[in-house]
Amino acid sequence: MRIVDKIKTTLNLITRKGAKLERFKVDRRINTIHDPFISKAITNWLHTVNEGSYQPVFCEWLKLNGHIIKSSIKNTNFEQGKDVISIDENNVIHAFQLKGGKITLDRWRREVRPEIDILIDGGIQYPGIPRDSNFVPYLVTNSDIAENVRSEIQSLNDKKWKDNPLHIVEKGDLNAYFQSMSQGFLPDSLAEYKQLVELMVANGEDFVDVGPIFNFLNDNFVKREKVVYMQIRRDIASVVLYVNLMMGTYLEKNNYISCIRILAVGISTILYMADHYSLKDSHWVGSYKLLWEEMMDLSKQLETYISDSSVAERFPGPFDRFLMEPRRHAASSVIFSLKIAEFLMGDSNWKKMDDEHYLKDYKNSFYQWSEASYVPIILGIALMDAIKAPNSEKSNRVAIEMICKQLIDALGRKVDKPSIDPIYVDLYAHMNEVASLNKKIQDEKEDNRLNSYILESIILMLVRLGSRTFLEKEWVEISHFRLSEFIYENENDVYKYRNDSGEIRTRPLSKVQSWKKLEESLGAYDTNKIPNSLKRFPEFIPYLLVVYPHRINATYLKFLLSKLDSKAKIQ
Amino acid sequence: MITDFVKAKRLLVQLIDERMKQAAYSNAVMVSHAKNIRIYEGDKLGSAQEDGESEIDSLRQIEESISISSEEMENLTMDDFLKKIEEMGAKMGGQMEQGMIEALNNSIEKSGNVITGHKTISEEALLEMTEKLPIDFKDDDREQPIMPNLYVGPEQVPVIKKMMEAQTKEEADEFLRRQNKILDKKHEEYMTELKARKIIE
Repeated sequence: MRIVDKIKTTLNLITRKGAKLERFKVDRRINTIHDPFISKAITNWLHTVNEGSYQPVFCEWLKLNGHIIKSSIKNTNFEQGKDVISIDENNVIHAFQLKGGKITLDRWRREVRPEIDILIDGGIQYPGIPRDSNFVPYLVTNSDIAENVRSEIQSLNDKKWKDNPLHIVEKGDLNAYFQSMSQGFLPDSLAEYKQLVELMVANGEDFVDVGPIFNFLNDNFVKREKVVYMQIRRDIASVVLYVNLMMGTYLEKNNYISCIRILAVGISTILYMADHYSLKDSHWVGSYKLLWEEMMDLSKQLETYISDSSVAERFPGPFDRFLMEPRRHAASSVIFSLKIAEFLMGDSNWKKMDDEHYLKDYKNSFYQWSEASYVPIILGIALMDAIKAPNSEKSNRVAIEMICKQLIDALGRKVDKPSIDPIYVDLYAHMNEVASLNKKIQDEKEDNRLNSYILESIILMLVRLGSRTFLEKEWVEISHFRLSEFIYENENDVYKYRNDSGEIRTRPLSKVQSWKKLEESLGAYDTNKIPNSLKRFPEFIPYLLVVYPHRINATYLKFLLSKLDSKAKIQ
Repeated sequence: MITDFVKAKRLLVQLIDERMKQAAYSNAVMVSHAKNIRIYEGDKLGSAQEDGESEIDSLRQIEESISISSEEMENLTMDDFLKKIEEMGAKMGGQMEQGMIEALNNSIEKSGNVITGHKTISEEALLEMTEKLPIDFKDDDREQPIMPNLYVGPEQVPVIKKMMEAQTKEEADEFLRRQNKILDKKHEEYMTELKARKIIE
């Protein structure tokens, strides 16, 4: 019998009648995966996070054990005492109240007990589930429950709650559950431990380098050959666990941007596996949604932080002022992605983009270092154009023309040396170079003049916005460029930070270009070049492009624009 | 073991690496002048032309090695070691240069951009080359032609030196006059080509 099946069988032995206080059982004898390091890592992580942060991992564990998550609520005023509702393979309903921190007697009486009363007495209120359905209630905490609290719960289970006794899950249990998720990958050598430790103990205030995150997930979950479906399922669960472990130090510091970057890499890994193995929805969509909702939640928290705090608070010291531009750029990039995602998903919060007062926080947040700098602005212009924001038509055109002119001035034929880096140099790499004063020896300095990965996308936007006069004027300069593009061996490779195989292709622009043909090409793109998962969840595209700016190309931009336009028509 | 100084070694490796690369580029003049592009991912470079033709280049590996016998090791100084490194670098540079010349020769043969009928380098040959090559002008200014670099084999260097020393003032002036006439024509072609770049309906 497989380990997971044994665990499931044990879980389903929970009874309710005449129940003593019972835990959500895990037979630790069967759980042969006990890696002291992973155990410590999970313990440390659980110690630093609140219930909102371990909730996605808890849900993932439930799913790995055959549960269907019906509801997973975070940060809501609607209080029915249930954070998570699930149904197991035997159609038993489970309702969980998640808490962070130790449950002392005072806390139990003041805060938790009233919620548990609602949990147990309130019944399940969920579409499709009859209100009077039986269910198993749980109190879950990432810390401990005080002995005197347990006594009270025991007493209540014997009397008031005897028909539906409360089960408890504490940090030791959560540790065991989450350890079982790490089966997808356990460090085998000291080098692997070191890799994981470095990722988990990074300075939480820093802008995270996505390269090592990708390498860790790619080496341990993507590259390894899968033999059975269950292995893929476990790997996806492990991705969810490890992404959350790696986010720990950043979450502690409320470093939303770095958390979002890690989540984007995690989501990319899951989507890659989903498409690569043509997984059924039940095998991956739930996990994708867990990480997606976390990412959206953190994006909104960033938005709130930006609007709530003053400039002085955000940039208190001299070094902060000096680094203000790249930091604002990093923040704006996330916000533009958030707004596009909200618009595509029908979340009315996107309407803040119409508000001049809201936009003032993001004006002048452009920082130029490479072609990658332009990606968030292009996305922002795309949204503003699709929603036809008031007074935006002219400013959109001016903005995209300014970007094009900057590109010509930086990499054009009249330039002696390139003044911006190619698109592959992201903000992390750039700031590293600036800080270490790393001067490449002259002979090795890259010369990316008249080569551009982003020019095709810029031309696309210029045509869309009707900048014919500008293009006519600048075509002499623009047409000297060669358009660069990475050609994937497989369309799913877009989800990878780097690919070992594939072709970097350059092609010239036409010296004589028909405006009509440019217009006709606006809507023409090859859908086969877009992974199925991305067609299904286009709201992930802006986040993918902001974290992996080198993935922008005309195909993805046209696809995103088509989605924005379709949504705009409905709106 | 006897304790090592790993960080110092790492720094030394870095310094040696730089020295090797400098030696390589010194012996690969054409390569050192060529445009450097970094490959961030993938294993192929493709290039398409306006006529639709395209080709793919796979990346080539260059390698050289040095060996130091145990007898040599006894008396090896840092200068000796660096000399070996520089020799190795120079050989690698030679390989890079050779590879580049092969690629150029293939390309030139395909394009037919060859001048014939000259046994050796001469003023006539230089003028004919200038006639055939596309020439850009800095800031589109006739007075600032971006002249191509001339790469010759080592055996041609004394020939060119002799040619220049033997040239009289009148011959030099006539050469310049004829070259300028070619550059005038080139500039006209250049400006015509620029004006031809446009957006049409």
